[in-house]
Amino acid sequence: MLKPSSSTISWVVFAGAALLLSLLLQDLYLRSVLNLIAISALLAVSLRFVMLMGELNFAIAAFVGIGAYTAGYLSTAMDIPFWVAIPIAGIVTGIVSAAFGAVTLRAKGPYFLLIGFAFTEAIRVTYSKVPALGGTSGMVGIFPPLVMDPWMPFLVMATVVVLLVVFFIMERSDFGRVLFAIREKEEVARSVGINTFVYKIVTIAFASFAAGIAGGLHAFVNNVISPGDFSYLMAAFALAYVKVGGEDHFAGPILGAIFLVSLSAYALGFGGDEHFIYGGAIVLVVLLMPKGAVGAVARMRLRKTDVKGGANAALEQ
Amino acid sequence: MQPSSNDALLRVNGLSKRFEGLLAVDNLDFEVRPGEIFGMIGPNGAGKSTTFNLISGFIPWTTGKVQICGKTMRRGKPLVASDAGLVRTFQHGSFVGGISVRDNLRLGTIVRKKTAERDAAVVEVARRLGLSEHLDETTSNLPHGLQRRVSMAIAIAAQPRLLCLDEPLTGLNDTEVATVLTVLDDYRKTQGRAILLVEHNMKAVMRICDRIPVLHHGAHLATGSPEDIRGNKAVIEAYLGESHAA
Repeated sequence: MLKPSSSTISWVVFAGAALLLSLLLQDLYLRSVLNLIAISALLAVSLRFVMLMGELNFAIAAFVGIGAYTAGYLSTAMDIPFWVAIPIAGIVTGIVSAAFGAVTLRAKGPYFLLIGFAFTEAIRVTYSKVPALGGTSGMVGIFPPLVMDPWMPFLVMATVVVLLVVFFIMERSDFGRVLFAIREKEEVARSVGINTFVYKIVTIAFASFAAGIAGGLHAFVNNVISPGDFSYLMAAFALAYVKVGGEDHFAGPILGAIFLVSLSAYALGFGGDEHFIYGGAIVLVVLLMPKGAVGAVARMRLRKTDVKGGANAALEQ
Repeated sequence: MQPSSNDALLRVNGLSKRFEGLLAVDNLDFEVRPGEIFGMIGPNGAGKSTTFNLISGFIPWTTGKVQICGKTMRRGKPLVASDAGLVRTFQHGSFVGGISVRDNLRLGTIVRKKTAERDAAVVEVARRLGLSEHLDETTSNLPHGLQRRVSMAIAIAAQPRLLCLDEPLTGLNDTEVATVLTVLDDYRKTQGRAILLVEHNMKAVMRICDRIPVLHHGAHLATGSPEDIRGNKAVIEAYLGESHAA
């Protein structure tokens, strides 16, 4: 039988602890912070997934919004139950993003980023112009069934854990290898017959499916959504989670989301000064740890090994 | 150039490429047949790499017709070329530096092998190219010669009917050259396969190629066996100047 690696065991323990915490927490504020951490981690991992193929997907904020508004509209206007509305939100977002990708993924780098930015702002303005979506005030009364209310943090956490596992498996599979190849040297993948364009579309569609689910969960957890929730700032925050945690490792964006969302919740106590603390933390981390928290830990480990290796070498001489 | 045969793996007719004022490839006609190594040579700027880019679909031709394994190609469509059976390498390295050799070779197996067969295919191609002990190393950390072999191994792992190699021997030492030539010789002997080669190592080209077309200023200068080319005055003149040809 295959023996699980230490990193698999760490992941299982970490996911188990997160799920347990979501069941045990009773304080309403802490429950809302935990929901926000889980949803933010999902967004950051989704953003990083597209970064694996070398593109910065600033349209992620639009896709979260499309998921949230789809779930909200299905729930409030059509009385569709929560557990049906959430997957539909993900699927609708995935389809919209596949169409978006088919048109825009011929552009690369800063051009793709700018298109994503413009798309996010255009979609945000669209919500405010459509009365059926609540206009500038947004949509209210997006509630899960009453019986589900106490279970919401667990449900959010469980959904996020499942999606993160799928992201992880995809990254470690041949699919992930092709994404690395696209980022570093796309022509190598194309030369051996890999249809890189299809891979790009599937990548953005799955990442956006997850973003749409995150948006749906956000709508049901907050009960209220408005166009302002889904501005480009949401993409900028997701990028901060990735960079602070470290983009080279799957755990990076998750750690970044935990750290920055917790910090933001703590900094609220400082009143108007919260943004200084939050912004300052991002600047410091990015300056002092260019590879993020995970990169800094890896560097420390390497240094330790070097010191040990050096000492052993000295003793042997 | 040569009389046409029905089973040619690659057939090129009237192929030209113009980059604004420059005619980089000028009305080429040639074909590559099963079982042969077709070694394209010519001085720098002769249009060899451009020809590679045209037939593999990486750049669109201006005029002409290309058929791979009997299928007519569309200009500028590399996937159509690889679907038809042509896989190529690039002059400046065809590997992904940031991932392991194993992961690089795996890229070559994705299209034609089922998931369960890929591990074995990677191990086999690594063994053939002497890469077995480097499978788990990061490719960018390897010396140049090994990186060249990784490039070639990715293409071979894809098992194309027509393997196109752009300067595969550049920077290799004599032992490495011998290893690669053995691999190429085995490959061409596999049923229904052929190799199209662009190479500057004349000793190796003369040793392994069956037919050698020579390009000069984008146009066809001569085609023949290594012996024919070695004694061809026009070829010597193109490479070394008139005084040597006399």
